[in-house]
Order: sequence, then structure tokens, then C-alpha cells
Amino acid sequence: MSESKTIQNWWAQNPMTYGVEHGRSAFAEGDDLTLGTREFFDRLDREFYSWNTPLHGAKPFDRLFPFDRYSTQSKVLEVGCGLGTMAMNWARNGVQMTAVDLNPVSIAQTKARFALHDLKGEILQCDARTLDFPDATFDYVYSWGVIHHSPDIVQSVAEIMRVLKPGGGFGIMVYNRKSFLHWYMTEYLEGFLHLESDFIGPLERASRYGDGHREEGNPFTWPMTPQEMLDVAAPYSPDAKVRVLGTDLDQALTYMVPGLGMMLPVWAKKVWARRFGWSIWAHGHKAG
Amino acid sequence: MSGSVIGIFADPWPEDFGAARLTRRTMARLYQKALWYRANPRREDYMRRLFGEFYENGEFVDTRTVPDWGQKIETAERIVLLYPDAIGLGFLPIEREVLRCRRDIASVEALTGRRRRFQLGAERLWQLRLHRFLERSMLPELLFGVVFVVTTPVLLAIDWSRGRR
Repeated sequence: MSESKTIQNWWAQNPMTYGVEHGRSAFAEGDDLTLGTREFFDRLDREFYSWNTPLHGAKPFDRLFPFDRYSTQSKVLEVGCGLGTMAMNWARNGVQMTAVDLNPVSIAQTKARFALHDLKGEILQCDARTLDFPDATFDYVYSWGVIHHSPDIVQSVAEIMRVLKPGGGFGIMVYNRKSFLHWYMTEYLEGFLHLESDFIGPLERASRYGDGHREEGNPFTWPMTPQEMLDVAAPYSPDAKVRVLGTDLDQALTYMVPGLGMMLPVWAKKVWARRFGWSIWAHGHKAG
Repeated sequence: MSGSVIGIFADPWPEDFGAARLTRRTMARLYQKALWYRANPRREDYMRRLFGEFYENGEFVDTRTVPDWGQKIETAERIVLLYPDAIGLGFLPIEREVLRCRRDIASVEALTGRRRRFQLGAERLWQLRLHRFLERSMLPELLFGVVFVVTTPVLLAIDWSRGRR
């Protein structure tokens, strides 16, 4: 089976539900919700938003996404829509929304979500490395926690830039290899303390101890470093920037030093979160 | 020797050790939950299936239900310690009993909840015991905590000098 098919199959069997177990639809309170229902989507969204609280203002993620710059005339693309939370928010913003994903379950679920909310959008299955759109189609393209699961991150970014109009905006979130979470949970705890370095190399460790780590891990995850992400985006974008997002820090501290996260004020955690958080946000505008 | 393979399973993790909700948020409970979360121990059914995958004709022995398991291993060709976590936290009494019954450590292996299999030699046992100490004591993490607290004001001063709040 090809690597792409392995990745696709794994995510189809284990969609990102933000549940207690990766791929399952039960949440902390114990409910086992049915995929595709309004109740499930509402619960998933609440959980997803709670993982990223500092990024929300009046609307979810509006401290990150330039919602006010894109309107009904704008074409927006999400690469890797998952179960459709962000695509839904962009569609509510009034844009002409297109969302793609390699995973057929994601496509079905996002279509179901759009139907439930009476939203219009094009939801298509395709590979991020070969986007099925002409050059310069979209005004804004974003991807949230997806292309680090692609065996060719560089090609995926190239495709994002290809389908973006000159001057169009982009925002790409990938996992950060220079983060507390990666250094501590993957490299120290599992790699060293739990002897995993004796058995598997860096890529396999990042995959095994990335999404789905409490079960058996996922087939492919390669976190980037901020510099690597800037190097990939900069050739296409004169104003490309990277920013480290540390919304995971509380959780990381909980398992590193129990109680420390509770004792520290927000401003103390911020100085570490912006340096060693789990996510890199690369953003800017395509040249032209 | 009987030619048999015996898998020795023990579960040092009480059912509610890593309960999602803790009724009292004391340091002890936080520590307990962190330890459980990090160890991510597998339960008996998982280890039984795993043992069957690796040792098709092996005999799975649960020490909780077979109190005289020590007698079973005396004549086994190979003994497999089934660690629910990665490094056998809580398995020291089992290992001591195995070594007491069987001085031949070359015939003893470990199969872990991370799906790793390895021979248990003197060096590996020493390594496991050191890593277990580090895991339970959280000594490196405590040292990190001190560094974290001491360094925070420095980083804060740097950020403020650059206009970042």
C-alpha cells in the first residue's frame, strides 16, 4: 500500500474528533455522540475552541484569521478541513468557501455540517500535494495542523502558493519540533526514558507520539522548526513571518511538573508559550 | 525444560489511578495522574492479545489470579515479562521472584505495552531500574521546574524591552 493510502486510511478510521480518545466521539463527560449530528459538531467545536482560547476574540480564531479582509467576493480555500469547524466559520463570514481533505470521512462530515447549518461551499476530496485547481484561484488559503502529516511538506506549501492569487494571503499551522511538547513528551519521555530511541528513529517517534499517541500513533507526522517553515514560505512571500503559538503549554506543564502550571500567572506562561509552544503559524502574502 | 513460553502479566496500576476527574486536587493526586498519563499503561486484555501476537503458543499467566505462578516458570523454556507500560513500573517484585526461581536471565525477555520486545540482561535491568527511578521521582522535571521559575523573569524582561506584552 502506498504511503499516501496508508495515511488516508488511518485518518479515515481515526478522524480528528477532539474526543477523549483520538478518533472516537466520546468526550470528557462520557457521551458517545453520533458523527454527523448537530450535537456532535457542537460538542466537537466547543472542545476544539477550548484548546485554543487565546486565539479567540469576538469570534473563534479572529485573533489569527483576517476575517475582516475577506468578504462575499473573496474565494477562500482550506487545505485539510477535517470535520469542518474552521471552514464553517469562514463560510459564515460570507466568503466563497472551498475546503479539501484527503480523508473521505472528513469530506462526508464537512458536507453534513454545511447542510445542517445551511451553508454553501465546495467540499472536495484531494491530496494537498496536487490541488485540483488552476493557478491563482484563491484570495486566501489556510491550513491548520495538516501538512506536517504530508510526506512532502515542501510540495504541499508549493501547491498552496500556486493556487493563491498574487497578493493573496495565507496562513499555515504546523507542529513545532522546537517545542516543550516535542522535546519533553516525544524525545525525553518516550525517546529516552521509555527507551523508544532504541527501537525507532526521529520520524517514527514524532509520528508514534504525535496525534493518536495514547493509542498507537499515526502513520506520518514531521513537526517543523520555525526557521524551516520560514525557509519554505519565504521564496513565495516577501512578508512571510512565523509565530509560535503556545496554547498547549498548560497541558504540557501539567504532565511535566504537576502543579507548576496552576501556580504560574498567565504572563509567566506567555513568555515560554511564545518561544516553545507546540504550533508554528506561518503567514503572509504571496508576491505580486 | 518444558519448551514452553510463559508470559507473566501483572497490573500495578489500580483502575482509578488516572481517573479523568480527581475528587481532590491535591499535589499527590496531580502527581498520580501525571504518572499514569505519562506511563500510558495497557490493560490486561491488550497485553493478552499482544502476547498472543508475538508468542502464538505461549501461556499467559496473570499473577493476580495465579498465586503460584513462580512454580510455572521454573520449567519454562522462555519467560516473558509483560510490562503494561514501556519500562515495567511496579515490576521489581516480579523480576526479583523470576530471578530467584530462574538464575538463567538469558531466557527472560520483556514485551511492553509500547509493543517492544527485548532481552533482559543485567545491563538492561540496571537501565530499567534507573529509568523507573527517574520516572517516579520526576527529578529531572523538578530541576527543570527550578530553571523555569528562575529564568522566567529574565525572559519577561527581554520581551518587555522589545515591547512584547
